[in-house]
Amino acid sequence: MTSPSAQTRLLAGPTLSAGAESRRDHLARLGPLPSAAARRDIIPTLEASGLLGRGGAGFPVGRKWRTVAERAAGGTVVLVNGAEGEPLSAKDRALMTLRPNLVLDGAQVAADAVGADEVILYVGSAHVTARWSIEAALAERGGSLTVPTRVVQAPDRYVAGEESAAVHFVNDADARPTTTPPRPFERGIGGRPTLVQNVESIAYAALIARAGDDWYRAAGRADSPGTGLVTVSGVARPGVREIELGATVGEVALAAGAGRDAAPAVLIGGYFGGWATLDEAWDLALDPAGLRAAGRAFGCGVVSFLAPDTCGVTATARIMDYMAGESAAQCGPCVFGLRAIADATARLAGGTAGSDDLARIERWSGQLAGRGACRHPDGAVGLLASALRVFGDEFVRHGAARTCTVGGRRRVAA
Amino acid sequence: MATLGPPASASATTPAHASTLARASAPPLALRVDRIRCDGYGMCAELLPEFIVLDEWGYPIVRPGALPGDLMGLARRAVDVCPVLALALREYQDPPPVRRVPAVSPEREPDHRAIR
Amino acid sequence: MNDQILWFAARGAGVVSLLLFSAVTCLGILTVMRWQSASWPRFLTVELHRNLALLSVVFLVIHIVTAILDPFTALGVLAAAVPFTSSYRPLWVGLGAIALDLLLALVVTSLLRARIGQRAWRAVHWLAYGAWPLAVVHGIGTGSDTSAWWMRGIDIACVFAVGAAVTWRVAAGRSNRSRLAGVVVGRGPAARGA
Repeated sequence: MTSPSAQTRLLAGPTLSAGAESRRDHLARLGPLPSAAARRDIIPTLEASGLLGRGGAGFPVGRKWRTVAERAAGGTVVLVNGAEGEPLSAKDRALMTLRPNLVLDGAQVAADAVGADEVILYVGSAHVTARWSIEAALAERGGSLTVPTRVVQAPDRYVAGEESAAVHFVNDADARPTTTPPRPFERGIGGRPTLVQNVESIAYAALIARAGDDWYRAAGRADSPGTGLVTVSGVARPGVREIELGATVGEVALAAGAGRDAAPAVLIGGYFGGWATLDEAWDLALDPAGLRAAGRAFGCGVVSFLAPDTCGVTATARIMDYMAGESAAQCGPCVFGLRAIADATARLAGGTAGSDDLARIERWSGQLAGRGACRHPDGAVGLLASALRVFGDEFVRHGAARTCTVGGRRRVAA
Repeated sequence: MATLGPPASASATTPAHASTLARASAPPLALRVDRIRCDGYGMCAELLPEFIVLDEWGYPIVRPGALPGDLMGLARRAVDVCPVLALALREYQDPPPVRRVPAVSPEREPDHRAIR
Repeated sequence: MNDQILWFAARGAGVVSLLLFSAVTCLGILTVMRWQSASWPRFLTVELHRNLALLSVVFLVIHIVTAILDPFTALGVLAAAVPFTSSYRPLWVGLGAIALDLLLALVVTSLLRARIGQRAWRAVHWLAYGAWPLAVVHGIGTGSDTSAWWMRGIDIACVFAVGAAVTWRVAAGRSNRSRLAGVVVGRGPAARGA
């Protein structure tokens, strides 16, 4: 089995410690983009490649571009989503920092393919290096692609990267999700159909535009073509890695310096994903379709190992508290429900839980999905459900006996 | 917390069923809540308890599914009465596939008989 | 004799209109305050508010029409709608005309609420707090029965009822505009090193 990082495509080129790749080096390495006419007809190639979106939803990229292109009549907009509000993910800013020209090429291809008259580069305001890199690369091109292009800083909030929130911010300086329908592809920035696409997906489109769909499918494992970026943390060698899709969690762990006994559990997909024990995850293939079939999610490619001797209940409580605090505070169920869940989970973690806190968490979780304007509460309760499954015994012990057995010691939970 | 019971069945002898047949060609309608506009007034749940109950914070939990013909009158009244226009009737669509989360395994079922 | 009937009708309809508008204003405040009791569900407040509002418009129309037809006042149709254009008690009738104009805006926007959208509707609906006091002052200023003991009682009751409701609403503060307005979303105990 080949090493998961044997096939680098997005991160191919100069070593990562060399910083941003200049335009000259980028063109010398990859050659120019195909002609504008070829770029306008790229959508069938994208569809044939099977490239899936890398922002978290995993929607087929070609199909997404087609739905916008079909509505090109009155002008469309491309928004490259580099908000990356997920705290455990660093891949988008890594890509923007190190390969800004690839990202800009992808934006150009997208603009041609969907008939856009404007491109917005939506970069998280906290990702300063990434933004400077993109701005410098854009300046090298005279400040614009073939259509007016500008960088918009996304507020440093988790939901700011949600697609309707991104559109809302560009329209009204309000980075909160809006009620959908209408979705951005129907009516987005300035009322025009808008393609909101993750940075990594856009960058890959730039590669596929040059090399074709067969080339894309040449990498990866049997049922999962292509490569993808993952952010690995909680290991000896953390960071962003490019893997073949279908590589297992175990392969990624080994490449990052973590062994089979490295951690009790691993978080796959980010705060929008879910926990798995290391045993069940070791042979789990990191590929979007396969993970979805197993009831999990590839999400934004986060693979975060729980530090040994860390209590899963405490880790979950911190995540739930974060998610509750990041609510856009527009919908009652999310505002009140997530806060109640977070507080109860915190009480369980801290050993001050009431006798029915665990039952209440389960009840509230069952009530919350689908009752917000966006999927924020859904993601949070999805993560909690996986925590209840993986750390179920610890939750019960924390709740009933107020003891924590993590680290092989029984002690009062604190 | 109140639980949602099954809707009153429309028997073949009631006038409501006849009118349902007459509208058989009309697309089925379902309730949709604008979650941002909704401010927990709760009047919808008062008028249509068969389909809407309130959670402990006063926000509506809407039972999925199309509305039966005999409840359409009450449904329209509920849509009308909402002070913030958060409730609407939309054409019923089959729900999108829900991401399956691995179920809680039986041997890990939390034991609610707390041991002190 | 005929004139007397018109005059009595105008006064009577005016009084009933004032009572109904006061009740409608109170019900509107009760709606947003989410008031309910064991025997009074919240939807009843909304529906009664709307029904009484339409009823009060009916009595208002009677009041205006009979007042115009009454030869004593020599009011033209224009004077009813355009403020301060009447020759008969121009100030007080004028205030009534303003109240009428505001009320028309309220009623029309409410009937078309689904079309114009919630935000526009709500913005116009605030005019109710302007229309009601104008109606009260108009009645006191131009009403033929103002000095009668029963009319004073009615005026006091209406002002007291609406005043109490408004005070109650103002005292409820920010949480009254939207249930989420007063909620601060942020980090909780888990973030503080628990």
